[in-house]
Amino acid sequence: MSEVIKVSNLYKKYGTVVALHNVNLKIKKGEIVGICGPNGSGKSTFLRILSGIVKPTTGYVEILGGVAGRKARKHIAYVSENDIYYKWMKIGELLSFLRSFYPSFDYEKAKMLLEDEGLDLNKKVGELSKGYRQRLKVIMAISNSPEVILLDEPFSGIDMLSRERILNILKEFLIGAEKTALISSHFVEGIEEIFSRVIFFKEGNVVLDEDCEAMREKYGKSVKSMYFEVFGGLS
Amino acid sequence: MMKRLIWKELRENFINALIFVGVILTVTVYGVVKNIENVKSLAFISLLIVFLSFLMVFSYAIYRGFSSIKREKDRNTLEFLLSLPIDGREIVTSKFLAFAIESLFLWVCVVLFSHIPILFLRLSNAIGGAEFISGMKTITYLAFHFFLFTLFTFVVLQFYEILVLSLKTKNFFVNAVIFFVYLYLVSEISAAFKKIFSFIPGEAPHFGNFLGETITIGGSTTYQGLAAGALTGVALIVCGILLFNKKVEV
Repeated sequence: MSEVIKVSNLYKKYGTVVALHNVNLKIKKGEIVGICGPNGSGKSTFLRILSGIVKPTTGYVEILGGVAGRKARKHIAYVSENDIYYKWMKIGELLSFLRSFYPSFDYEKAKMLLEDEGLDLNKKVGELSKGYRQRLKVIMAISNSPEVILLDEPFSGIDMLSRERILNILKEFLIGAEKTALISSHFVEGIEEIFSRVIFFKEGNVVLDEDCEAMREKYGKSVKSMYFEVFGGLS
Repeated sequence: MMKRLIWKELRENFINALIFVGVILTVTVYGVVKNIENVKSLAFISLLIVFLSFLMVFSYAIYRGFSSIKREKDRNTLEFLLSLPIDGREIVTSKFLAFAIESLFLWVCVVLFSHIPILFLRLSNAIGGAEFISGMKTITYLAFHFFLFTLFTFVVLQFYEILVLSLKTKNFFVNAVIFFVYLYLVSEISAAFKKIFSFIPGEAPHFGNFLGETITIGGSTTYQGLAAGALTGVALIVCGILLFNKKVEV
């Protein structure tokens, strides 16, 4: 399988704080990668750099054969952990707004998915609960049929039902579709089933990078057990 | 794409412009009704509307310029905009163009409303045709100059805002020093630009007879208005480059 993301000697500093320290990674097409680690371990910064929103201090990032930036963003979807949509916008307006930026945006599919999730096009983003806002972000991201999807804490702070629904939407989009996904999370319970590979971040360093199957065979442990072993003292 | 960004800006802010128009119209109607018998006052109201509007639109330009990127950053929506397949230059330019459309709409309304008092004068034969035309030209000319100046104000403050966000300092003293040094530099650059446009004559002949007195303010600021317009373009380009290079962290 071809590599869609190449990261070498990546450093990111915010003032005197080192967010990422010499990260070197290669991610292949079709991989569903869990980016795990406690809060402040550098997961979000890593995804933001991949999406081209944040520039690295030093290092090289290649995504879909080019630099992480405007061109690549046409084929990348980034789902932030923050509420990044305009609260005054109606869902229908947001749909039209996003459609104008992505030539491959599937308007009908998005509408259908929104209806399935009970999201009314005439409702304002600000009127939605956190769980629905999270579902909205994921639907908007996959409606563009991106080659690479970057999800930053998509399951954080939401109820069980919303978590299950988001997981189902993602599974339908990702499984067997040769799409690449990087999903950051500070917990792994219930979501490790979709990961094909996990990368553990600790204080800006990659401390573990394993294929899930290989890890289970090599260590005889699940991702969750491994997580507690690595971060036991921190989480 | 740019159209969509401008639509977003207008959708978010145009209500403010409509409120301004409502206020200006109320002032106009009130002024005309109160001074319907007084020819001199009624003519003066036409100019007063333009100056009053300038104060209002100028304040609005300060508010919009100071909060254009910071507001996006504070609401996390800058992250959303930067995640789209566009760059910082488009974000900055769309904000400027949306403000320019709002500002143009406001000034067109101001010009139309400020013609109402002198139209009353003309219809009641209190002033002649030549004076009426002179008055219309004066108002339009002043409004055009103020329009350029509000655009300039917006961009100068938007640039300052991006500059401070890029420097990432939250120290009040440092910010205050930067602000005063910045204002000094802007005034120096403005002066240099004014010199470039100083070949344009300062006095315009059509101002001669409006209100029966010579009004010079419009004529003497001709090249200042053009200088402000030209500087606006330069500042806008630098703003976009700063944001494009991700100097502002989300």
